[in-house]
Amino acid sequence: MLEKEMMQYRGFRNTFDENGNPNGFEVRIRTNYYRAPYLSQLRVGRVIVDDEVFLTETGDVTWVIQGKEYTAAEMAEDCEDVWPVQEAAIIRVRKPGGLSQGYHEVGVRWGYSCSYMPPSMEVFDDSKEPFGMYGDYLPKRKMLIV
Amino acid sequence: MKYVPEKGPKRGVSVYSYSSIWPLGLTLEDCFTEMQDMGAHGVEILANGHIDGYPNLTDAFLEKWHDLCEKYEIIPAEYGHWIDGRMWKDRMLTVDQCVRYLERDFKMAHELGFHCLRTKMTVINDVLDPVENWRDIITAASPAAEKYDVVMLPEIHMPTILEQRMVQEFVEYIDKNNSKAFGLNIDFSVFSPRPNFDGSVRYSKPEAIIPYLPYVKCCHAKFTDMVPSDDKYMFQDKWIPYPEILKVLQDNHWDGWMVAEYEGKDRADETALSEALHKHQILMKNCLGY
Repeated sequence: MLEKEMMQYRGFRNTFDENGNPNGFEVRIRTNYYRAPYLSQLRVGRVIVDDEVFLTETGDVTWVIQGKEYTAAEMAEDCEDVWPVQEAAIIRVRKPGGLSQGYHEVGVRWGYSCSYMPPSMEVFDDSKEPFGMYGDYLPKRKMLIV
Repeated sequence: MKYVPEKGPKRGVSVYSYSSIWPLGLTLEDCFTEMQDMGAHGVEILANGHIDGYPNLTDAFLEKWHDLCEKYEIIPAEYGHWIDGRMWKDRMLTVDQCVRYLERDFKMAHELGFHCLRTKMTVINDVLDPVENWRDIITAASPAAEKYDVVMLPEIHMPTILEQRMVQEFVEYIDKNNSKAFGLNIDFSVFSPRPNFDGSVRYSKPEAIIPYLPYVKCCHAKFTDMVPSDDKYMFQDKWIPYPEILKVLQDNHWDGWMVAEYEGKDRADETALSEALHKHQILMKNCLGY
């Protein structure tokens, strides 16, 4: 079962390398879209933790969908795999040392393209403020990490 | 008593109505249970929203689907799918690529028992005109559609109204090509005087559908605001004149499914959603007499 909020509490955790040292963190989000677009139709943007920004271009942010891990560039070309509506995506962020114990406000910028809507409504632009609808979102949630 | 579909307009539900709660883990069986409660026997699903494993059709899903339809007396009324022309940020699908995606959907729809397909085309402007080469795409996909016995139906939806040139062009294409693979889906929003996003008010009168009825294979019974009504209908939609529309359909002997599409502001609330669906089915039942 998924949580009502797009940002899922369950799944928020640090990740560790083979020696047990924290090397980043993961957070899960669910879609609010009623259909499963091909990955090339998704728009993935920055991850924000408190005041720290992680950009997709650096390769530090990847998305795991149906068990497969993708960079933003790989997703932009993938017209065969979809993000199923009832499955959370894992957003994986590389950050040596991971996140410190305690509360963090985590946000993930994402959106999608809709070919059946006017092109004027394709508003996603990671360098601008999120629109909040029409396939351009920045859900945020304050959550504890152990 | 086994359900035998009525001849005439028939009541159904689009699983799209459940969109706000579907991602949380709602199941087709949940939806079919409520449809059976309401005597709504036709279902619309959205291919890439509601088929586990899409774009592949697994044996497990196929078996589950047919079992559920049988158990709950549900008829596959319409299969919603898309031609996602803007597949990539920097380029469009070619006609051949469109046909490849379409054929995969035709085959899947056929195996699930659908004949009507709500085929959303890629649009190019704010009044929802389709891509300029839509005729090439439909023509190229038509042999496969006929092979799988499906008909592609673009949806006529606000801010488009029935008087718009596009609708006439669709009909001219069907007539000219004597097409069995192409028709129309009319969304009842075309009859709504509710202001559009830009504040403009444009809508068609119910009678405007009459000349198009031979081409209309399925309707979307759109509704947003159910209000009490002190007459035999019990409820009305605040915007869409259901009694008049359904009378036109019945008087003109239209035969097909009207699948309910709820777009009320409160649809993320489970109770409000169920209440709205029930009120809407009561209204349609009281219009039709069944």
